[in-house]
Amino acid sequence: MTILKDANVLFSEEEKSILQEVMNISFGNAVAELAEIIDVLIRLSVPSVTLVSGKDFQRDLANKIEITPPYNSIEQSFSGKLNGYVFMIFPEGSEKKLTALLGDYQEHLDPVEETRLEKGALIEIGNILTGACVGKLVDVLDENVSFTPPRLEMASSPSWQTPLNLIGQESVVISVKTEFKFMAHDINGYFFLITNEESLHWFKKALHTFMEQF
Amino acid sequence: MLKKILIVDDSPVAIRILKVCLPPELDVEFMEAKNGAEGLECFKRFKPDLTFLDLTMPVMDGFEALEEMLKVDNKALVIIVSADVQKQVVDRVMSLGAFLMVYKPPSRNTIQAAVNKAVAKMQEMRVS
Amino acid sequence: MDMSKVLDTIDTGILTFDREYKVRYWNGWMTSHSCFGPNEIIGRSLFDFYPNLKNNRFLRNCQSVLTFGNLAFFPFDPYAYLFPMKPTGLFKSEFKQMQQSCTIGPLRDEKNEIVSLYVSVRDMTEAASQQEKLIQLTQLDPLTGAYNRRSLTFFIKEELYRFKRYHRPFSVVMIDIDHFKNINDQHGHLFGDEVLKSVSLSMQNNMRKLNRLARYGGEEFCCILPETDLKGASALAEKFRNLIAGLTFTSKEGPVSITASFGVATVEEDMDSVEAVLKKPDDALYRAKTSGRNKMVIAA
Ligand SMILES: [Mg+2]
Repeated sequence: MTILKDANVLFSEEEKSILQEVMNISFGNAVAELAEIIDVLIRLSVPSVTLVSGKDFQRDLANKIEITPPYNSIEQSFSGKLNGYVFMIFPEGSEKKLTALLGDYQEHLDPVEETRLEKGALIEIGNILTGACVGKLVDVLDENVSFTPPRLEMASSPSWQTPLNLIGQESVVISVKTEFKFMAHDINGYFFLITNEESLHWFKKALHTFMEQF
Repeated sequence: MLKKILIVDDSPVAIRILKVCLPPELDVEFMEAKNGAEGLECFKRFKPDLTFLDLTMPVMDGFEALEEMLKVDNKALVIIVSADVQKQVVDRVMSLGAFLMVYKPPSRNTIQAAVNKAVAKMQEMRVS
Repeated sequence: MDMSKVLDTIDTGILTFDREYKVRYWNGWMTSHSCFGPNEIIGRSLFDFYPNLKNNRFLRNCQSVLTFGNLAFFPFDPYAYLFPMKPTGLFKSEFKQMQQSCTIGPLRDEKNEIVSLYVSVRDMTEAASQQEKLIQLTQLDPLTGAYNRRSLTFFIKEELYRFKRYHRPFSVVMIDIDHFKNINDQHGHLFGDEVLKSVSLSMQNNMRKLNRLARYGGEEFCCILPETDLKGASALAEKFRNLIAGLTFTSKEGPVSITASFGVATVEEDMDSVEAVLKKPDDALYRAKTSGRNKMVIAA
C-alpha cells in the first residue's frame, strides 16, 4: 500500500501534527461533556493522522483495526465546509454491554425485542459519540456541520463501499484513528474520521487560524 | 528561583503552544520529553523546578509518569496540561498529587496564573 | 417570501422548544395531526402534552444536541414514533399509531449559541406498512402463515450464534402430519391445504411468542424454541400432539381426525451448522414414524 509520498505538498508534517493536537483537544472536550449525558469514563488513545489515497483507504482502514471481523460498524457522514465520514467499530458482544450502559438491558427478552434494543443502543451511542467528537472538532475550528443518520452493520465484515463516492479513487484522504475505552464497562472501540480532498483546503486554513491565536 | 522547566508531551505542537503561553520574562532552562517514560528519565536527571505533564501519551501515559515522579520527589511541582478534562480524570490526577491541572488548549492567562502559583508554592516550601 | 407560511403548510411536522422544553413553535401539520393547536401548546412544557417523551432516551438525545449541535435520529425502525398520533389514509387499520421518523436538531442565535431545538416529524406509516408486507412476503409461507424454510435457516443460524457466543440454549421440535398423503388422496388437495393451515394455526396460537414455527416441507413443520431445554421442548411437543389429535375436520364423507408425530432435540456443543442442528430431531422424528406414529420421540 502506498502511504502517499508527495502528500507533504498537500498537507505538511507540521499540519498533520497540528491536526493531531486539535483532534486530541476536541475529542478530550467531547468525552468530558459526554460524561454529563451518559455516565461513562472514557480513555482515549493518541489520535493518529495519516494521508492515504482514495483507492487504498479501505485496505488502510482494515489494517488499522486490530480485531477480527465480524464486528459492529456504525457509519455516518457529515457535511458543511468539512465533509467526511465517521466509522465506529465496536467488537462483537459490545452491543449487550452498550445496551446495559444505557440502562436498557432487560432479562429474558424475546430475541427480536433484544436485537431491537441492541441495534438502538449501537445507533444511539454511535450517533452521540460522532456528534460529540465531530461537533467539538468543528467547534474548536469555529464551524458547524450537518449529519446524516447513522447506518449500522451488526456482526458484519464491512467493506466501506459508500464513502468511495464521496472520496473518489484518485483523491487524497485524511484518515484519523483514535481508540477509545469505556472504562468501567470493558468496551473498546475504534473511531475513524475520514475527510475528502476538498476538505483538505478548508482544514489547512482552519488549522493555521487555530495556531494564530497563540 | 524558577530555573528549570520540564515539558512532557507527545505533541510537538502542544509543546510549542505551551512555550508561547509561558510568560516571556521567564529566564529558565527547558527540557522536553515526548512520552511518560522519557519524561521520567529527564525528571530524574534534570531535577526540574516545575514540570508540565500531558496525560494522553504513548509508551507511558501521564498518570503513571506523575506517580513515578512523585515517588522520586514527593514535593515535585507537576502541572498537568491535558485535553482529557473528564471530572473523574481531574479528580484522579489531583488525588495522585498533581499541583494543578490546566485544560488544553492553554492560554497565556492560565499559564501565567499557574506559574505564579508554582512560584508562590516554591517560596512557601523554602521558608518552611 | 414569507417562510412561516411554507413551514405552516409543508407536509412534515415541525416544532421547536427551548432548553426548558417549553414549546416555541408548532406548525400546521402538527396541529392537524395532534389534538392540540399552537394556542394551547406554545409556551407550555412539551411533557404536559407528550408525557411519553419524558424518558431517558429522549432527554439524553436532546442533551446531546444542545451540547454538541449534532442531529439526533429516531427512525420508525426501531422507534415506531415519538408523538402518538392517529394514522391517516389507507393504512389506518394496520397500525394503532402513525409510524414516524423524527430528527432533532439545534437552533442557534446570532452568537452561534444553541438556544433551542427543532423536531421534524415525517409520516412513515406507508413505508412501515410496505416494509411489513415485504417481510411477510419474504419470510412467511403463504399457505400456512408459518415462517418459510429460508427464515428457518436464518433463525437457526442466529440461535447457533447465541449458543456459541453466550451459551444460550435452544431446542428444536420437528412435526410431521401422519398419513398426509392418504388425506390428500381421499379428500382432495383443498382439504389437505385446510388441514395444513389449521395445524399451523393451532400450534402458533398455543406457544410463546418467541418460539418460531416454520413450514419445513410438504406436511412437515419445524419449531425453534429459544432459551428452552429438552424438558421444556418435549412438554410443548406433547401439547402440540394432543392439540392436533383433538382437531376435527369436516369432509364430504363426514368428520375426519388426524394425528402427527414429533422428534425433539436440544442444541449440543459439537453442532456447527444448520444441518447438524436439524439432524437429531429429524432422526428422532423418523423413529417416531417407524414405531407407530402419533407419538413423540426425544433424541438420544
Ligand atoms: Mg497527548
